[in-house]
Amino acid sequence: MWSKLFRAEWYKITGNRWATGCMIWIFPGLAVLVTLFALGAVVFSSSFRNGVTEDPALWTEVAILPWAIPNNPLGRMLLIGFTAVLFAGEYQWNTWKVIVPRSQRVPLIMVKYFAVALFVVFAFVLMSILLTLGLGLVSLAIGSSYGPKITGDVLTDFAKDYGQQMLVSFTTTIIAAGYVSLAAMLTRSILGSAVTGIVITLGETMLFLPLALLSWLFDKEDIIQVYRFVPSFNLNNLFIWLNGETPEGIKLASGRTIVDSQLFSEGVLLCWVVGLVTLTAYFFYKQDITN
Amino acid sequence: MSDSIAIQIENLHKHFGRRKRVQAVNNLNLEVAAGQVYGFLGPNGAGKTTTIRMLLGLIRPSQGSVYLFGQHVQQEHAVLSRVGSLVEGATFYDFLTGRRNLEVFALTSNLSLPASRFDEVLRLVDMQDRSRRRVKGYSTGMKQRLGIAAAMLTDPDLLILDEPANGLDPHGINEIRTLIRQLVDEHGKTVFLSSHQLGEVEQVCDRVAIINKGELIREGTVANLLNKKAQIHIRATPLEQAAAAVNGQWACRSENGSLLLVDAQDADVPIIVDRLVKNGIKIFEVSPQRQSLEDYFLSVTEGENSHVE
Repeated sequence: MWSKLFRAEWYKITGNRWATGCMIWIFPGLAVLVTLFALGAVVFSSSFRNGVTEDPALWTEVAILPWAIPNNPLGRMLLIGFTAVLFAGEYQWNTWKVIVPRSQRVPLIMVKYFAVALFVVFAFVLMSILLTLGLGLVSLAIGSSYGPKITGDVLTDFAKDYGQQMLVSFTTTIIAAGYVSLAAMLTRSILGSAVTGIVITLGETMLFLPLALLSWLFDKEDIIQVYRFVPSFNLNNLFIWLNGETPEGIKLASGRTIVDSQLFSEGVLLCWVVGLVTLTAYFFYKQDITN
Repeated sequence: MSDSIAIQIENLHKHFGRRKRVQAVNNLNLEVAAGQVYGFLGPNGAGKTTTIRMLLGLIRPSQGSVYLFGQHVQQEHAVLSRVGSLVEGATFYDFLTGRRNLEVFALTSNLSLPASRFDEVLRLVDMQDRSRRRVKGYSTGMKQRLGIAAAMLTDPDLLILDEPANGLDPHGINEIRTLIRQLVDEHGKTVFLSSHQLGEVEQVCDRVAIINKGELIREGTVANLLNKKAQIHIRATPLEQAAAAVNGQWACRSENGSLLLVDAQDADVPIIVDRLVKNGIKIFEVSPQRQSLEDYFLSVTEGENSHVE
């Protein structure tokens, strides 16, 4: 059942060329564009050639670079739009009424999460490959090095770093998809769910300010600790931990600093992922499909 | 309950709104035997589409149960694999071709159908030549045809069709009518048909139910319902004597002073004529008038007394 549901979703996503083109394939396209731009710069700019020769790129860093896009709230905007099309599109096109009698509701929603995650991961892996090869081509054209040399240790370290980046991006995407899918059920509109998703995604990163204000107003420093459970804060913490560094944590008015462990951040993020997916599935299961 | 009963609706209620203000369906009870075309009629806002959506598990009843082939729709979702539907106009993924839409629907139904099955249903609705074009460019009629193809894709035992003739030209309407009858008469399917085209319903349906304000107000075979409202028009002189001659047995009234309208069946015509002749009344014309389903529908939806044949 799952493979057929996914194939159906695949047909819908790939068939919607405008949405996938503008919000998914744009990323690998961007890698090609960067390569072409760099090749153009190689031909026309001696300072660019000198710059690359003096400070050569490392393929291990170039390959990881694209993952910074989904891990950044602003970079996530297009992915939110894509998720909105996927979830709210069925409401806006009035197609739930055709497909809901054909399958159980929970798998219908779950397969959408899977499709979002897979397409995003696929797009960024492709972007990563194209960018790595493209900048390799640029280095080759200039004659500069493009290290490090491929050895067992380099590949092991790279695979670890790359896997971690992918995992963080996957988590980020699922959390954003959770916001958007819930919004889709309430607004039943692509625009409505996309705007709501963007507002929540940006809003949660700025939640620290109102919490700090409330904490100061009521003279209760515990209020600010709510921020420890916000996804973006924990994603940032996790990112820092994975890079082998220690996050700064939250400084309380009393001077005490709370630094959450990697395990704590992983646990909070897992709760958000499971919670949002479960909540969406529950709402959809209970929802009346009307016009 | 078994396969002989395609649809069973028991004490069905549905209300909408936070304070349950809108009572869309109110204590509806209905049984549709398998192997017939069943018309489901009602004015706008009567609760037809809400009922159909509950039949398809799209919305949950506030109270009561819906069974398809003896299985509870909410508890046994698998029974819906025996149902094909077209609800409130055909809708598709406009950016996909007609054929691709059918493939998506088949996959969602957990079926890997051979290409020949898609060809077959597309041919049935005369859409095989246009199936590789994007739905975005389809006319309403073409979408409706594709909707019927989608409903029949999985060869369902029960077809639930809500306004299937919407957007179709007279030729298309005739085709759909023939197709519906064929599905029932030759393939043993059951069709639950909701339509405002009462002329079509009258021609194609075996039984009909009429609902108004969420409640069942009439149910029975088309013939029985219309016979109840049959009339015989008599042009005769003297009209007063003619009225007196039939009045004891049949209700009658005169119209324009020249026509006597008698509430009687076709079978009563010889008896009435015989009685008029015996009373020395000159008869110029006797014409049995059968009410159309449209007239009947309009007359009963004004009143609301429940009446099941």
